[in-house]
Amino acid sequence: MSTLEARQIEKAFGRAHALRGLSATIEPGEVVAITGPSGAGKSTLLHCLSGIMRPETGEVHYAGQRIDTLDEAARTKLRREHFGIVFQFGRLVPELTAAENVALPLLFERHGREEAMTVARAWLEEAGATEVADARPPELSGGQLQRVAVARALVTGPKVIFADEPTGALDSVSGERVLSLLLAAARRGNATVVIVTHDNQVAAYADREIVLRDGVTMGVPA
Amino acid sequence: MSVTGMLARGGTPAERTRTRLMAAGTMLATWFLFGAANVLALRGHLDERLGPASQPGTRGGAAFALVLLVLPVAAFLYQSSRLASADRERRLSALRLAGATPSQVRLLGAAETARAALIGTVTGAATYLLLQRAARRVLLDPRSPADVGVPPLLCAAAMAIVIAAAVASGLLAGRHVVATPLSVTVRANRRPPRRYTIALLVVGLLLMTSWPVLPLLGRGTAPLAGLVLLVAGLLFSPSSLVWLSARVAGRRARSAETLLAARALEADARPWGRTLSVVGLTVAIGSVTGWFEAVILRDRRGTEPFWLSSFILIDLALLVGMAVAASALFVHHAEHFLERGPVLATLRATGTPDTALRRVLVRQALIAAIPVCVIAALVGLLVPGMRLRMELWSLWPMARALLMAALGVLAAVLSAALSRRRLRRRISPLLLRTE
Repeated sequence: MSTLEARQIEKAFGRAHALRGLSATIEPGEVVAITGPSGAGKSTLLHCLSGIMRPETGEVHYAGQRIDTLDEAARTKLRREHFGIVFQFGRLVPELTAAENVALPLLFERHGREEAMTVARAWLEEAGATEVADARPPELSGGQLQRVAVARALVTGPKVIFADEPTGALDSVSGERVLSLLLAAARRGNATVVIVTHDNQVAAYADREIVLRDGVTMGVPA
Repeated sequence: MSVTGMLARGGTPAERTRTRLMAAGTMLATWFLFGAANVLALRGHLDERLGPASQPGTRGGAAFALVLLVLPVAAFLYQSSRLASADRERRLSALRLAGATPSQVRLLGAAETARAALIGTVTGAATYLLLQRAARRVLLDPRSPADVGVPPLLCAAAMAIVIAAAVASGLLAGRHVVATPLSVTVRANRRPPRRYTIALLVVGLLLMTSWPVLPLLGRGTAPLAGLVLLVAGLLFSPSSLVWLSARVAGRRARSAETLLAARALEADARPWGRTLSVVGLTVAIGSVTGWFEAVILRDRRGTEPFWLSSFILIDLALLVGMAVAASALFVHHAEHFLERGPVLATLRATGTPDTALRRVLVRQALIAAIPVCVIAALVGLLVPGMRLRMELWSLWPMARALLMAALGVLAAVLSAALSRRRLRRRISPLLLRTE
């Protein structure tokens, strides 16, 4: 059984069609890169696969269960319990410290504060960001922000990790470090990884590439 | 139409809402000021059912109370003028690209605010005078405020004051927005509020209640200085109280909701403090009036038309003040959602339930409002209480202070609860798009 499957999904924003009858399958433990030019529908596909958005037509399945028909609360629960998501620029809560940001998903799952903070600090150590545990996001560099964001995505032990341009705002050294961290942690936990990128070097880390153009797949590049 | 005119006319839906809110606020301020002028224009002894407006001796106090009602409106106007201020500056920064100087852009922004304020004051003046005329026909009482015209000079002065205050408020609200031809940034003031403002309350309370031990200041000066310090403390300390309360709550938070609420408040305590200062003042005044009511009720004069009307009018004014201050908090929530849309959308995308985000709003209101309202109620209870003989003490002022504090907290919580529907609309997944 595939981990994620999109069947003939369509999504439009006003008159602009982001996805036009797109189908794709992602197998368990796979690292898949979604690539394509700007406006090809990469982020929209990631948002539909992760249940952040619902396609207008078509179906999205996760582990054999149809998720596009679930209501917002059920999809939110699914994301919290099964998915980890990393965005470009980290997108951390600016008022919380790095450790509190990482601990947040655990606190929402009703773990105790001390326990959540201990686990968060362990993940920050794993991410090589121990020294910024008590710093707030505005004080962090781009690379540090992304390492904290990766720790936040991994802290609940997700089965699928979605990353939307995780290295888009970083220099090549920081980008490589973030990507290595993400993929190493995913392999250890046998998690599936879906990365949206327009960077060929990032796509090279993936087992497979889904190339999009104008909202449809263009097949696997040679 | 000129390019600048076209740019100035554009605007996001939030900006149009700001214009409407500014107009509504200035209309309300005009009503209160016209009401005060109307009361001052009354002559002689009138029907006692008019409460404090009926007697020449208490008329000044009634007019002052109406002027005081402008305070919550001022808070409302300030919050409204902050709404989508970054959107406006972004639009106006296009003028910088077209060659306008920063002062020309500021002037255009001020002109926009002035236009909204002018619409509000003219509508306010017109509706006040029309309602007064309608009331005159219904009441048919030549000895009511409806029968006394508002002096035209006072009308013009009131309108000018309201417009000038609205423009100043717009300019003040935009002072943290830095617009260059290429970008717009909102420079948030992240420094903690000044904590010495809390000392104003303590010193004011000491001067008011234990003035005999401070002979250097003299018997008359100490209580007066104390009163001034207390009012200043009630107006300026809420930001510090909110910040302190948020800091303590953040350190002790056991849940994600409390942690998010406390940290967001700690980082940006000033808008809450500004609005809650008006709520606090209302709570304190409401608590003080409990003592007057206790004395009147003890003398069994509570059913006399003058006192009955006075009590009702005072409570009505307090409720109006509280409602306007709560509306200002509601506007602050709207601005908060605009500013933090992407952060909230990320939280939701990463699995934070909507219900939890809504709980964050209510907890913010509780963490911020409880200390401000409790301290304001205590000030209102203690200041007259410590200066009265013990035999005048009764349960009523304490019950009234408790009720006022509860009302203040309830107003803050209600404004948060009502904002929850806006929250759902504001956290669209579209805010996550980077393409």
